[in-house]
Amino acid sequence: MLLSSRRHPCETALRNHAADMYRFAYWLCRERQKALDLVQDASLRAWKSWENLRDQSAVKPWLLSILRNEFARSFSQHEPPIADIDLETLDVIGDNCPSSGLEVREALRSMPDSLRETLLLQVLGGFSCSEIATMLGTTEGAVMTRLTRARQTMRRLVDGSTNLKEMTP
Amino acid sequence: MNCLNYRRLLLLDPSRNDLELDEHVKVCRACAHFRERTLDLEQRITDAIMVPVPDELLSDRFFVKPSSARKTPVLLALAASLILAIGIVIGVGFSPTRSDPSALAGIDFVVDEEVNAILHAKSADPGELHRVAQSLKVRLPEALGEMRYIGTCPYRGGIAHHVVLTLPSGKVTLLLYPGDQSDADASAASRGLTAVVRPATGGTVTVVSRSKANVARTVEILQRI
Repeated sequence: MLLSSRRHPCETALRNHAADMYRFAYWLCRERQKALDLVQDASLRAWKSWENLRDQSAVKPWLLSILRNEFARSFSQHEPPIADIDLETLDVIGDNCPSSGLEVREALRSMPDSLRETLLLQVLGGFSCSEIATMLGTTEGAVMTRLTRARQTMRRLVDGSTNLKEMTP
Repeated sequence: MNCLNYRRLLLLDPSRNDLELDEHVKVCRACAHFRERTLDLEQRITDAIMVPVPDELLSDRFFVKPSSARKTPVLLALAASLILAIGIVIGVGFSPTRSDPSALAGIDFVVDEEVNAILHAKSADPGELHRVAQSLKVRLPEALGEMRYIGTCPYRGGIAHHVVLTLPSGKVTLLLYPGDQSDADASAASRGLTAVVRPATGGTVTVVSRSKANVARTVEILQRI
């Protein structure tokens, strides 16, 4: 009888989701080599924690959550201090917005991290708002707001379309 | 379905299949054009996100079980569990508990969205704010400090009216949310902020600030009229 060289389920899961893990990592840190390191760190942690995974149908959100946590740990991610905004000193971006007409990739890079991350989880991961809320430790309402805001931001950066123009028929 | 709701839902998820959305776009040319542009941009976003995957990831060695991923000795695991349990017991006594989701949403908005909303705001009509306050039957806290109506913003799946109040002791954010179904006060404390959601007629008002005292003062003024 031949012995079958079956892969461990963890290795199978990692290989199945390698491309999405890399792309998520890439857009988190926006550097190829750092993204590779991040995927490798995340896979080590996945191996160590594999026995803790109760629902194997949820392996993809589990892996991306591990990767996100590794990113936060490795790149000293911290919550920015909340500024009490002096409204008078803020420049309001008007029709002469210099950031309109950006390439899509540049627009994605320049988007606020929280918006980009949420958009990635929907577009790349295919997760529902509820799943994304669980992964990010926030509310479904906040996720919905971020998704809408992310697409509005992309429209403005790429096409130069303004928020109010598009939303008002 | 009106055009505002249609576009809001489409921006939330352009790939959604929804008969009501399809019916609206059949009769509204402006929204049909909006949909076309949105789907086009969505495809471009998807293409941009799909960066090429390095060959290293395809290597046989990349994902194999590392030799260091060995089982932790039992005694060490027990000791770690005990330390963790003690840490949790101590932590529960001191860490603030996250509470109501609707109040937390207000905090998340201030931390994650507010700066962008202010930066990209166009001049909003203060008359609109007063009409919304009138319909919610709440008194705006203009007496407390300088009040600025930023405009409308996507919030919790709907549209809220975003106001920033500048008090001598700090900033307070108000989110007037017509259509929100809630008949009880809710509160939360997280990320250095305090939020209270106060029911109003046909909606709610969320008050968020770093200062609990400012939240309390603002809520006191927001009495129903």
